[in-house]
Amino acid sequence: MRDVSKIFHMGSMLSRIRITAVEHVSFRVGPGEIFGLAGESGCGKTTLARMILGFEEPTSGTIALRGRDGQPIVGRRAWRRAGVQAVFQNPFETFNPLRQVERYFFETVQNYGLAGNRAEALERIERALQMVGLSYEAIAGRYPAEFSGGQLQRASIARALLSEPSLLIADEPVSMVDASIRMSIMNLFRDLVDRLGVSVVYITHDLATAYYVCDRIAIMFRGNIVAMGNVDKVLMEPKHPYVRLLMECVPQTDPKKRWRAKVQLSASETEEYLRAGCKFAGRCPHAMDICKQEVPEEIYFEGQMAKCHLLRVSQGVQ
Amino acid sequence: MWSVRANKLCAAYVLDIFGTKKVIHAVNEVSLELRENEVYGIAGESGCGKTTLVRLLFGDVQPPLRLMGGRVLYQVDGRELDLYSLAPAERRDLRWSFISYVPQSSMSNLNPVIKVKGTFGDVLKSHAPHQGKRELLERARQHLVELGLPPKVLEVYPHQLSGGMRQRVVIALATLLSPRVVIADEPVTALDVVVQRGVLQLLKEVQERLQNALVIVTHDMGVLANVADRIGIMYAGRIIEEASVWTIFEQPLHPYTRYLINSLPAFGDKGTRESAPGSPPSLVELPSGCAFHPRCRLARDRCREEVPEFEMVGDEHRVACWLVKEG
Amino acid sequence: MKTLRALLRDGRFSLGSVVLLLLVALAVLSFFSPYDPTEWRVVPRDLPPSRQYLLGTNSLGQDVFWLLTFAVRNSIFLAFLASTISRVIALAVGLVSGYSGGIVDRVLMLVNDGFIVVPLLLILVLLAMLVRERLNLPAMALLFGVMGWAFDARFIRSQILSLREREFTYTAILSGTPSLRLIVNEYLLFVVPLTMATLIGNMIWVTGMEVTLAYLGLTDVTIPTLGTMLHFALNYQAVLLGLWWWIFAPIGAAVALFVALYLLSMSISEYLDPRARIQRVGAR
Repeated sequence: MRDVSKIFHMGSMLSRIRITAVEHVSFRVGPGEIFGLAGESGCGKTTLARMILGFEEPTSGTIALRGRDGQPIVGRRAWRRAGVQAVFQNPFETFNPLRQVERYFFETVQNYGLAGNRAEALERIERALQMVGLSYEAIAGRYPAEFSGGQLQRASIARALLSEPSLLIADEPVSMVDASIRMSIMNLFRDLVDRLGVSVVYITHDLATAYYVCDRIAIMFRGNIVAMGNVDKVLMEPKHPYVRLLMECVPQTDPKKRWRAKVQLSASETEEYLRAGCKFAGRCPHAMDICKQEVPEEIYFEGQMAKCHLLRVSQGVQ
Repeated sequence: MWSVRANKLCAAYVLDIFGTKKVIHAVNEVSLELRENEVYGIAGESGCGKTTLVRLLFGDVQPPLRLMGGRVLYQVDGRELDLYSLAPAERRDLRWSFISYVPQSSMSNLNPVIKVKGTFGDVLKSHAPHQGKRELLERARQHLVELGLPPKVLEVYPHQLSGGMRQRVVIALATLLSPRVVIADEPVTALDVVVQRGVLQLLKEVQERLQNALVIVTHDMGVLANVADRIGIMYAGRIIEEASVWTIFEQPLHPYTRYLINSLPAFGDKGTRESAPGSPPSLVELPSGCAFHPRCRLARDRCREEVPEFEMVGDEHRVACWLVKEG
Repeated sequence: MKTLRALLRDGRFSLGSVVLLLLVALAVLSFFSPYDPTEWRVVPRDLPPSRQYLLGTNSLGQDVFWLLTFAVRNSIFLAFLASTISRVIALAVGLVSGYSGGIVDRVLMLVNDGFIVVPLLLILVLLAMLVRERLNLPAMALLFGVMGWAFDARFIRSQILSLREREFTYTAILSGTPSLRLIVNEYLLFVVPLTMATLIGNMIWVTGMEVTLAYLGLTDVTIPTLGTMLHFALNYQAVLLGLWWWIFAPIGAAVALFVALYLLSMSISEYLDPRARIQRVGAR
């Protein structure tokens, strides 16, 4: 029984110029689930990830985390040992270029007291590396520059798995990996979730890979989650006008589905952050008066949620 | 009608790091043709030599990059010019007016310490030295309006523009003198999808208006599927397959191209996608024979020994693969 | 080893090291000196260079050649010791300040900037006047060491600031590495080469300062250094008396030391800076 679940509830993150990077965001990631967090650059998804990892404190709201055994996790060390680990975007940046990659493995084992002696440590490291299709021999004594991007990203995932966390945060884990091996990394995540029951928060701006790998997805826009739910529902039957716009703009990898209509581009980011009401109102083709004044409420459909006044009007009050 | 023709181009970066020579073979025997009124896409992974290739086409060869062989021909007003036998001044005259280049980082085309109108003025001035300042400015403004950009961008400094707007301003600059060839290197890589679409839209629009050749270099096959007419796939410094966008996506022949196309995720289809095994080779030590053979499941002895010829296999379809040739 | 071989291919590096080695050899010779450098009137005075007295003798009755061996030894020792002290301070302040940020950073940088804006020469002159006779070599090294770290600490701090934002810092944190170990493990390797390069620059500065202070007569003049040699030569009107060998010996040695250190530092910093390297390739 590995009942992993995380309940996040976060309030306004106020930075010095008072831009709310993440605003009243709540979501829940179940055990053994790949949860997508998608949005444009500067939508707050990375801030959110940093808060989950404990690199930043939320201004208000709470983040709760449960281990693979179902017990709530408290304390800084435990948070990172049994709780949450991360896989970063650029594998060559994930490891110090001047240090051997294996050092990080031994340090993780040592610092979290995961093994009594070197033999145990080696066994544990070997096991983690096997899971990602590598072996200790393949990394022993080597520096990051001696790896290929794909290999190194696998090593990074293996390091994150060492302490058997219940959650992996993967921040754009494939955008720096060569296109020809990108999908093998995506498949690896799926495989790990199925085998270990670990949960993954997959942060990306690439909706196509998100669609491919995620179970559920949240679309963020200027610090807000505007739509969330089952990935098939959210992306294939988009309710929120912003999601619809996004889906139209993703270049489909099929020359038969070329773009036809034209799009309008936004003015300035900060302006949208500071906007009262719905942040998307300035660009929304269906914007109404109420959109500019009031923050829309969450409206639930079968398998998905969207925050939009328009839907409220068309659906009737729920 | 063709405007630029490359013939067996070879180039390498020769680095001398405290006496240790290192040669990076970035472009190897590339031949291609850019035609009037078409969008030519060059696709490849990072480090496959695609940026080097377009720098060669543009005539931007500076140490440590060295041209090792081959020719680049321009067809300017019916005359054939050999780019690398032209005098530097003649080459300079062709820039912006015949061929223009939008580099990866859009900032490098705009001078950060002068207002945008200054950069526009400089470009116009260099090719129309007798016009007055006001006339030039008016021409720049008109050009922006034609492209649907607000003329007020002329009055600001480059850093005041958002990434997407800056990219569009650079495109406007590159097309100011109606060049016959525009090369855009990763024009949308750092941009969000919505902005990305806007920028591509603009590139395509200008190309349609000028009826010229547009080259888009990218690693994103999705971008090419949407705007390209013909596509060249690069791998380890060579173009290994070239065909129309339809053929590339529907009947790719080279095993590498197939992996590339098949691994693309698509909406509405969650079937498992396979990646090519292994990883791209280093350009310092290229594998023998076909550079893809260590990753190719179908490789034969010949693939390990001989470099496959880049041959025409169908209508406008060229491939460099022994398997295709030998059936 | 590979680094050394690569560096030796650079003409500046080889020339610099040859000159420096000659100077070190000269310093080593001091151990075989037939005379005590603090003794006066051990040889006939004011003799020009000859086979017996390679660099002549001075008005105090000392053999200039053997005196020079002591001077070079002490000056190199002083420069090295002082620079090492200041490097250690610079590293400690830079690393801690850069990594911890916040109030610690602000206080440390306040002190740091204080050292940068204060006219160091004047402070040194004042301090030297206060301690004067007691200013032996280790004390002087400590004084120069304490004065010479500020610029480099700032430099190291800025390096750490950018390193701190790189992903491998977070990987280390996620691996549970405690802060102090993280700084040493992850950052030290990045800043040590730079520190080595600035070490040489700092040695030049220390030698120059020592010469200046000694020339003003503010150090313990009984210790033979390049500065005190010059001090005596000028005080005893060596120029007027035409005793050029007395003047030229310390000046020549000082210039040789400066040039050797300068060439080495140029070569090493270029080796460390890839951009300068590419420019050099491009210039051909």
